[in-house]
Amino acid sequence: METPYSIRVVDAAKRFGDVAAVDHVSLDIRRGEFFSLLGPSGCGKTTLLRMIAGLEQGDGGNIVIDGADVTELPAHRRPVNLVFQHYALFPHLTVEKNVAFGLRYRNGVEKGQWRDKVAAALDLVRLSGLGHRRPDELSGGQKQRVALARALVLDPRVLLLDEPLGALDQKLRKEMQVELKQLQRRLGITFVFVTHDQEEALTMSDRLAVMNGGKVEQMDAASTVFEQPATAFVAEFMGAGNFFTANVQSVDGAIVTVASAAGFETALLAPGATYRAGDAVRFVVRPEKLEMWPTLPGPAEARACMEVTVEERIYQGVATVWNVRNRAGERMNVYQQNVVRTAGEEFVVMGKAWVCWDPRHAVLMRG
Amino acid sequence: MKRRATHLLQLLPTWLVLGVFFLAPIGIMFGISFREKGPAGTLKPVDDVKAYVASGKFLNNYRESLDPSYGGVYWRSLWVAVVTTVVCLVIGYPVAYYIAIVANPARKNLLLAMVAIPFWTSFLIRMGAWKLILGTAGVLNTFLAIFHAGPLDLLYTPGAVLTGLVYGELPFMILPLYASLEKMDRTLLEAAADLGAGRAARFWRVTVPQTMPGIVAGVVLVFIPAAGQFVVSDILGGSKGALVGNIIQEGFQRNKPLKSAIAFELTAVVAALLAMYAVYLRRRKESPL
Repeated sequence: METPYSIRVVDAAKRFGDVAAVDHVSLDIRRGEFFSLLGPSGCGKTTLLRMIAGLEQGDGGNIVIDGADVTELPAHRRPVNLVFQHYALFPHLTVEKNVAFGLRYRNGVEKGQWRDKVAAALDLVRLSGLGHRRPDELSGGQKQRVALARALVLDPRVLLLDEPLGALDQKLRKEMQVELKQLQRRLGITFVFVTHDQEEALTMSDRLAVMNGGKVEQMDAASTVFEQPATAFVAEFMGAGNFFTANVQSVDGAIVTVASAAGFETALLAPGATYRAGDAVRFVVRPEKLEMWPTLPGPAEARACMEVTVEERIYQGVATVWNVRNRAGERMNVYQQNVVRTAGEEFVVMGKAWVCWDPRHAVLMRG
Repeated sequence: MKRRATHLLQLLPTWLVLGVFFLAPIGIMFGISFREKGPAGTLKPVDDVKAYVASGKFLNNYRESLDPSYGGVYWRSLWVAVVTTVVCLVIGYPVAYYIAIVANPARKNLLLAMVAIPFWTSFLIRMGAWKLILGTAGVLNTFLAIFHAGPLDLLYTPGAVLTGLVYGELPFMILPLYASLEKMDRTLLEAAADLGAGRAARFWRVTVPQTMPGIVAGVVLVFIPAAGQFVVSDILGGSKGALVGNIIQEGFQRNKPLKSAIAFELTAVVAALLAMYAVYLRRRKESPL
């Protein structure tokens, strides 16, 4: 029976000396999805990817690809291919020979057939006509495409990508993000993408896993990880960063009423959570979900508000970011779209203001 | 103008050293190779240069040097140099590979020092030591005698000359190979593995091409001295083991013009090989080592 999973990592572990690079990680990557491993440098994401590729031998756990346990298989016997961070093109071979390199090892490619396959692969990454160049005659973006073609020509069941866009400039990077995503959709194969850039991960992934200190902090759909961070680390890493300490007052089903350290009460939605009155908690509200008001707005809409002092105004053109501080001394960022030309003129640095939000956008977590 | 003058001044020491110790001796030798020998190692004076050149006598030494009677020595020298180079490569590559890639990084310097340690002892003494090892009553034959085998005629054979040459030249193969293996990008090996290449395929399709500059440098560094050797063949080769180096060296004082001509032919062959090396490097867009 076909499994719905392309890759299953079961309790994988890898130590480098005293450091647990990958600390008993389990994850399931579905067939045909664009999956990202996201995290800061040193979080173990690259090590985990290399373990899936077979370039790193784990200290424990299992790697299952398409239902077959490949834990003991060396890299050259695994049905996956890796696009390396710095491309790793063979400098002594032409583009064409680079792309053809692996064909003789994968079954079914006869001698005369490789030219067609190579041409098709170069066409796929829009590099037709550059087959006779050498890698040192290519730009960074072109090298990246050769590395892609070299892996894709082998029809891997899973394509692994190790920060492949890291060395490209901003503009090219954005273009390649969209192109990679389109390529993945067209080919329908599973992509596992390693990146430290949360925006990049959100742009491209169907699902993603946020890693920290060798462990998976949260694994879910990209928008869920963004909107419903499971841990403080994920919230911080996804750019939320506005934490408020509070105490649970009462619990009514999924509705948890808390008293904030800044002296106000607010009700939050926490479905499935098991909070009890008296628990120390924190809640997070993303900067773009906060609103600035010059005075306390009327109670017409369901919203929570707190009084703040404006500390800094960061004008960015399309938006203004306000650094503000509440009565409990908790600092937060408020992201305000500059939808009118005079936006933000009613606030002064070191002056008072009110910050409000829809309580449904607050995410509750343990303190 | 002033900058240009300063620039030339800075180059002066280089040209001085090259000129005095390299260009001048070669020029003198080149001149001598066109002269006729006089009695007791002197040169016959040339009275009329025009007539001397017109008579074609100036080429007599080169004509004589290409006499078929020398052919055997030339071929043997070339053959010995080629075999020495190949054997050094076959032995040297695994050694360099071990030091650069397999060995514990903390031990690398120790292992490299071991490769260089023979240089602390005079070359002549080391060749003398081989004589003691290979001789009829030498170390090897004494050892064989314990098992009632031998004695073998090891000394004064082509094998003895080859052994000495390989032993003497091996470090010059190992060191450039080590340098190129050391700086090889290891992720290329991972990429090859990822693309399905097994151990042997990775070696032949990635490691060897990537270390080709080191291989070529090692081959050049071993082949050139091996082609001109005379000490090793003199000590370990006996009367039948003469190489072109011995031909040049023996009786040089008595017939400087002829020996100079032969020396120049050897230089020409080596220079041709070096030119090929230079072309190869330019093709790869790399500087030596």
